[in-house]
Amino acid sequence: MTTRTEFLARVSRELGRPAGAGSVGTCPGVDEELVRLTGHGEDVAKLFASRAAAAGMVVHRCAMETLGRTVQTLLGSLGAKGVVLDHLDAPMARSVADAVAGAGVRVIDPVTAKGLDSQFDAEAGITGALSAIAETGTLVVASDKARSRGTFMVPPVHVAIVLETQIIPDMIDLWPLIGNRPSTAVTLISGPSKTADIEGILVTGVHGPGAVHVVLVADAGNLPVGGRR
Amino acid sequence: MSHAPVHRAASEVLSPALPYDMRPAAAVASRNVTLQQFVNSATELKDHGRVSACRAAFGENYGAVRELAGSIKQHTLDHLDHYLERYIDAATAAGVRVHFAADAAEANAICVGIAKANNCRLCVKSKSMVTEETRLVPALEAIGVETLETDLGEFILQLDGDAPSHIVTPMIHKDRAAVARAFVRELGARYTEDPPTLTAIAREHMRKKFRKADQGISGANFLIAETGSLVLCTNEGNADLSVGVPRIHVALVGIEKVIPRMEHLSVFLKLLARSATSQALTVYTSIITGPRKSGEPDGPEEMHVILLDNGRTEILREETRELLRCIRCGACLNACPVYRKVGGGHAYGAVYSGPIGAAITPLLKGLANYPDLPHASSLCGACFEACPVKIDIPKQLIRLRAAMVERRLAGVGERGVMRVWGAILKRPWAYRVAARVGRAVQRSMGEGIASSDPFADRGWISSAPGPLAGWTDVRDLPTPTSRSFREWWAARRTEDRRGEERS
Repeated sequence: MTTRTEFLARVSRELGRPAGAGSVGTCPGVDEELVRLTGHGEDVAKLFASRAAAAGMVVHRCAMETLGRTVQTLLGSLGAKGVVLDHLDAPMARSVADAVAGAGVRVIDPVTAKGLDSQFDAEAGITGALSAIAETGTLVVASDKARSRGTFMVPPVHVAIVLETQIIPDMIDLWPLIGNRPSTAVTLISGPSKTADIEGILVTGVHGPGAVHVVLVADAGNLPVGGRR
Repeated sequence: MSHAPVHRAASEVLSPALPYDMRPAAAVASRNVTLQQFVNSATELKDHGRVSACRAAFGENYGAVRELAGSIKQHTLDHLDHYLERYIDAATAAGVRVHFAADAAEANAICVGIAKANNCRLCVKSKSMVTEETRLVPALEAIGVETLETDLGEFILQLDGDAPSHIVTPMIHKDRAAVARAFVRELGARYTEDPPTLTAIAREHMRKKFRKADQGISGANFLIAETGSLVLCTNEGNADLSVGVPRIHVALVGIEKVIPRMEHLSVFLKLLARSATSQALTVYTSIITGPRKSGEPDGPEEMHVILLDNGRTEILREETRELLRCIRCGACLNACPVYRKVGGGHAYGAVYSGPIGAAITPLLKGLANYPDLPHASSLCGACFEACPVKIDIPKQLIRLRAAMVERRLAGVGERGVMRVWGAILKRPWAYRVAARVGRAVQRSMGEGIASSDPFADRGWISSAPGPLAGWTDVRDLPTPTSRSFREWWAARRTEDRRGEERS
């Protein structure tokens, strides 16, 4: 069996470096002039909404006061009987819980469900977001103690509740929010699940959700940018 | 349409008997009109899409962004031992068990060992070229672990006993009727050629498997040294289900996948999907840092990363190192006229096809085993132009051709001709004689020459003898004109001088 030492020694040898050489010089950084495609000056909520729609997501814009009604109407139109509901941040948790109860659907709590099996029978999964990227219309969801890896992936419909204040202009702005100790899984979602493997014809919903609804909440109170809780 | 350019079992397509002769498969494929149309339209569409997506996003900076991406990768490779050390430490701290595989057999043995130790029966696998390279699926099936390819294209190929022909869109050579037949035969489905219905049938079949699987296998698009994270990009979401649902996640990853810091993803992710499929980002980009932590509701209990060498350290030598920058976007395949003409990837007889495959396969598997690949290029440079990390593939192919001559791998005939040609070029008198003889011989074989008519001074040869028939089999060879350029020039100068004398 190859050991770590042998394995790395071979790499050093072919590089012509002594094993364990620490010096690496300076790695080129991310030149923002070149790489940033969306600046801070833009109306990020508007841009996000249009790019998300272009990526195939359905965007529902509402105020904090109308969030419950928006979610209830949406669940009604989906005809969902069972939904997986992630633990949401304080200002949204209550109105969404009420909306779900009002829609008369069975709620699966992914934290107490222990495992993903029950999620395969749900019609929709409701999540918050860590952030959202305007440039590409991308949702960013993190999975950790309170948030499942299945909610946005296993049920055939994903409903994401996003505050306008959570939207960042460009992917470059995401990494400071994640930091050096990322959640176990951070997933960037840009549209419904897609394939074009059969003759290049686009089909949605091959493995992940075939529909992604983004409920974009305008009035966010005093939540900090990037705060999910 | 037949499901492969040449009827060969899937295993033989990507791992043929060596040394591999590319010509029979290429000859059959280049005469298959349907296959040509398929591959042409698919690759041209993607090539144009890449150009417009990258121009729209980066404008005049497109070249500079590629330069930056290439320089980050090059820096990482120049200090790969250091960055691998950092990755291993960070991943281990995040709870990942990191394994080391010197070659394909060792990688498969580690993966088989994990499956056995955990009594795995059913394995769901996300698309990964590295697992094709090590032939992992047969190794798992040999110990009785049912292993399901979950990328739709790969799933269909597995069902049909076929092999991928493109690193991004594996089923580029197959049409919907072939899929319909495979689903009727293997899944007992009703015959339909409707892509959404076919996709739905596959979805239902695979969801049952995801739910029951106890092991998930993936490759990785990137490893992040600083955080020990693994990055997976898919459009279908099959990778997320494959590595998120089962109890165990095993990732098989080539050592060249590491990048220093998470923020570097901005550069690579912005280029990868645009170069591959002209999307701004793949639908799903997952950054996974270790298995489920204590108190988390789901995710795998164990996560293993098998770092694979398998010949990569050979390529790490300075003169070929740039080849390891490759981020497997497939843009060079889509841009390549030879890849199109030979009907896609199967003719290359290896896991990695197209220009990048032509350059790395001889290094991974031996130049003597793949003597045709360095020549499977017109050196037009379209691959270099398309590459998001600016790998100079034409230069690398020329280097391989030179190595063939140095190692006497080039044919005796070719070497003899080149030696004579070299001797002639060194001596002006010999060149003059050879050119005159050559012109006379070619004109003697030509048709349609009317020397009296200046507009019909040259004709054509429709069938040339010996190896030259390779040209005239498919097109006419124009003959030289009656006068060479040198003769024309000398005559013109004489006339000019006379004119000057007169005035």
